[in-house]
Amino acid sequence: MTMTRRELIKALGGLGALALTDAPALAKSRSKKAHVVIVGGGIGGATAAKYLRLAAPGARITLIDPTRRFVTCLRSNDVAVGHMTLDDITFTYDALRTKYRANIIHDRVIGFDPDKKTVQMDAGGKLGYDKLIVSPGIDFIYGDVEGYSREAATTSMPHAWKAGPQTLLLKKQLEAMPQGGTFLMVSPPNPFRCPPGPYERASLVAEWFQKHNPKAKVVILDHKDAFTKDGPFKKAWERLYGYNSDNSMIEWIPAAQGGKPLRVDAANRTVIAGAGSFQADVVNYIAPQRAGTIAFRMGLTNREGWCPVNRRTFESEIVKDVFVIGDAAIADAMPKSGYSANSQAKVAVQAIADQLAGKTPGEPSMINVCYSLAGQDYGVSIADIFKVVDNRIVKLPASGVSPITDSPAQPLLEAVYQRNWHRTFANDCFA
Amino acid sequence: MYLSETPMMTKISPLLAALCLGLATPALASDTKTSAPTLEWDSAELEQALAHVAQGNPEEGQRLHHYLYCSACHGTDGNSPSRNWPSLTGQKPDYVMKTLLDYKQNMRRDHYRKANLMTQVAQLLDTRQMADLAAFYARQPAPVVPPQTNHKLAKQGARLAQQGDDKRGIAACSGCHGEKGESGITPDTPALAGQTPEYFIQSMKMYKSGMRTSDVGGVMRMFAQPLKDSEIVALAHYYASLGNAQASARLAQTEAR
Repeated sequence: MTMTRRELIKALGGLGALALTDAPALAKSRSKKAHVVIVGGGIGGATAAKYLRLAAPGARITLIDPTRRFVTCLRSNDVAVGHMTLDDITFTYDALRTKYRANIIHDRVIGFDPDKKTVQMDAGGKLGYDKLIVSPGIDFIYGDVEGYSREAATTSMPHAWKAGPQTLLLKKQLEAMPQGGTFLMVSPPNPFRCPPGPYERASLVAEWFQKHNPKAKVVILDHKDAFTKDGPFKKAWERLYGYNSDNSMIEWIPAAQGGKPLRVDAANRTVIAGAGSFQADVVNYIAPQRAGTIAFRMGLTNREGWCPVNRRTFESEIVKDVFVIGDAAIADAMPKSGYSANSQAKVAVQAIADQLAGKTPGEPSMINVCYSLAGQDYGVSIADIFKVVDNRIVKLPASGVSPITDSPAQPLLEAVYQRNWHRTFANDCFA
Repeated sequence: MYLSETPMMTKISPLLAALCLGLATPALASDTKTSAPTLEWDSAELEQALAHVAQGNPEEGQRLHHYLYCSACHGTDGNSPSRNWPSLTGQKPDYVMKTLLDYKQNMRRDHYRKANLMTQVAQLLDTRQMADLAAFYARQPAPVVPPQTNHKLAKQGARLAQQGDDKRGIAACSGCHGEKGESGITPDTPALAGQTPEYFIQSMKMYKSGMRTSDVGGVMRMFAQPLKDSEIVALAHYYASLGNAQASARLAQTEAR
């Protein structure tokens, strides 16, 4: 597709008037309360609404999201294997509304005029902004492998990579598996949301099999030859699931050994890869990813399907006064994780508060921490600190991955930390 | 199995072992549900359990302190570097042993929630290892004066700690915990000198609200009941101020250098 941004915007909203003037209609509102509109109420958007109130107490804040409750992908693997319920990972916008005085609008953004600085909502009309934050998350690429489709993703080959109905579908399929069956996962190419997520899921499914389907196996077909925390993950698989033995419950097939999927036969739950044809009882096909569709419609994406931003402020490199945060933003060494989105939201709102106050935004420091479970009592983690160097986000040497030790307390504590972390992190975003 | 490298759990008593098995799983299932524990100690049973303390090997305790990552929260030598968690250096071995048993049996709450962390870690320990850890902490000198100690508040707490308040039926804390907070009346009465004030406050408030039930016979719940929150804070700083002043001075000197 070779449409320009403006053509796209016109096609999207029919906002034909955008060429008429260059003067931002709302510039004169500077003396009044600045209005910051946030599109998308996931981890990034919710954090932005809360922390904007702290950074710019006088601002008017509006958050737009079509859904009334947000289900976090964090810990959704626990839901898929029945250790938690969907309710446990579902959060409301009540605190953002009452405690942080954000106006929450449950609507869909269907148009955008970057010159007049307005967004068009489906039901709610047009809304002007001084600064716009877009936290669009991800969507999936369906067309890259023959036979795989949106339809397959919602029926025979769920991705369960956005928590909600897909998570429950996967759970149902897992429970319906025959004894001794095969659970096949396709792990996506980089970059994608939650880099350790596929391997945590494979682990928790294997653990679930130990109890409910002891002869069943997990096979991972991978687009890649390495993955985050692969050292401690593989050690955990050895200790818990017999990895590298004849009875391993988990088989991981990297790209170099033909793990990359070439063709899909959705009706027969079969994936054909270089390593052979894999027919399975459950196929968890985690599709390749791109920025959320709204980012495309708003003209914020590049050729690779992600959103280029100023790494110090997360302001779009394509549209002024629009900030893109979270999975959709190009953030170099930062993984696409909820934690990253939270950290980026804080950087973006501080930059917005500074700009609104006529100040130059400072030098940001960002963090990512990912806790994963290799079993209910076995955690692995990574903690990274990031700085901007030569206009790229780079990882500082202080960063690190769980060590492999012989202490039984070490992975156990990480599992406890993971649970406590999820509780406090969700509070940081939503409470 | 990976965890089989850890020695098997030793039975404390048939009753206790049954309690451990019966409670461990459901107690760990929920992160946030908070209610007071339903179990309480029987003093004869406690005495039996604490008989193992004498066998504690402090060298082995020191190894476990690092091997099991106790040092991550309680400090390399047992002086807590955090405001959330208690210092353990110089603590009475019976009290440490009892506390570890409390956790293992899911009798403790921390921060008004289920004590997920210590409850799970305690499952890794047999009674011998608990005794070893207890012996290691007991061998260390009393904790330093925590840096956050407020000496003005400490003065306010001194009177109540030493004399109690007859009119309100509050006994002097020093009667059981010692003139200088060094413990006293029974071997499992904790030393309080140099304890992290935040931890002290949290413990007292949890006794007051009935959330902490690990006190044999409900004694601390009874004493905490009439205390005002401001008095609890003053007591916390008083006991913090009784920490090892010499060690604190040495520490300050080292840090200044």
